[in-house]
Amino acid sequence: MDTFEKTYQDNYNVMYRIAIKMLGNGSDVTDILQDVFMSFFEKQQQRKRVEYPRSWLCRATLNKCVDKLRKEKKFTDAEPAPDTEDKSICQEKQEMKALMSYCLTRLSPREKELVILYSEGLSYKELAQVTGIAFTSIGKTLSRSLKKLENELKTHGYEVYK
Amino acid sequence: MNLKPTVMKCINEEILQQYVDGECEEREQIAVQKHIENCEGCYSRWEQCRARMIEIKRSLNILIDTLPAAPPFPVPAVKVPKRNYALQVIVPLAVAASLLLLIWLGPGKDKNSLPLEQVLQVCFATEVDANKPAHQQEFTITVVSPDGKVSEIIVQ
Repeated sequence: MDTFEKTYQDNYNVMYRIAIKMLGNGSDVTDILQDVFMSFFEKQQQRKRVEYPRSWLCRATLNKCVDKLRKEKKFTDAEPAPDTEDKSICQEKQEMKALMSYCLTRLSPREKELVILYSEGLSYKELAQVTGIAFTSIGKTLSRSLKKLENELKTHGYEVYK
Repeated sequence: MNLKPTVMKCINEEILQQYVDGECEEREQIAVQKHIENCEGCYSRWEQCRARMIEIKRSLNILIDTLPAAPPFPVPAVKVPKRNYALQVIVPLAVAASLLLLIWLGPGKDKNSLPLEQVLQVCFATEVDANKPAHQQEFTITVVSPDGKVSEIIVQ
C-alpha cells in the first residue's frame, strides 16, 4: 500500500494536467483519475507487475480521455474556430485557451497526445513507452507535431514567439 | 558570440529537437553545440526551435486553471473470500456416501458373507486446501479388508 500511495501522490498532478489538456476544464477529470488509479490499485492487488507505473498511468489516463471524447463525439468532429475578433466578450486568457483547445483538435490523435505529454516534461523514453512511437522516431515526430501546432496557432493569429 | 559560415554539415530538425530537449548523447551534444556556435543558419534555427518549445509548453499550460491537491484515495475494502460449503463439506460427504453405496450394492456380494462393517474398514481422509480450486482438491480413501490388506485410493 505504501508503494501505491507514493505512486498516487507522485503522479496525481501530472495525470490531472494531462486529462485537463485532453478534455478541457469542467470535464469529469477527477472521476477519470479515480478509475485509472483504481485499475492500478487492483493490478497491484493481483500481483500483476507494472514495469513503468508513470507510463502505464499516462497511457491509461489518455485511453480514458479518448473514450470520453469518443462518447462526446469531440474526437473526430473538430470544433469550430473560436471567434478571436470578439475581444470585448473574452478575456485574452480565455481566448488563448479556446484557441489552444481548438488547435489541438487539428492535430492527429497521436500528435495531440505526444505534444500534451511533452508539455508535461516526459522524457523521450517515457514518450515512447506511452505513445508506442519508436524511441528513435520521437525527435522527428515531436519536431513535426510542434511545428504543426505552431502553424495552426499562427493561422489563427497567434504568434508563438514574438 | 563569433558567428561565421562553416563547412560542417548542418543539423537536421530531429537532432536539433533532441538537442533542445537535452536528449542527445554527450558526444552528439558537444558536436551540435560546436556547430551552432559556428553556423549562423543553424544558430537561428536553434533559437527558433528553443523558443517554440518554451512557448508551446507555456501556451498549453494556460489550459490548466487550478491544480487541486490529490484527494485521498478511497481504498476499497479487501474482499474476504466466502467460505465454500459445497467444496468443503457437501462434496466430500457426497463422494463418501457414493462410495459406501457402491461397496454396499457392489457385485459379488454374498448374502452369507459377513456384515459390511466386519468386512471392510473404510476411512475417508479429506483435507481441503483453501488455496486450490475445486478441481485440484485431493480426496483419499483408505480401505482395509478383513485379511488386513490396506488399499489407498486417491481421488483427484
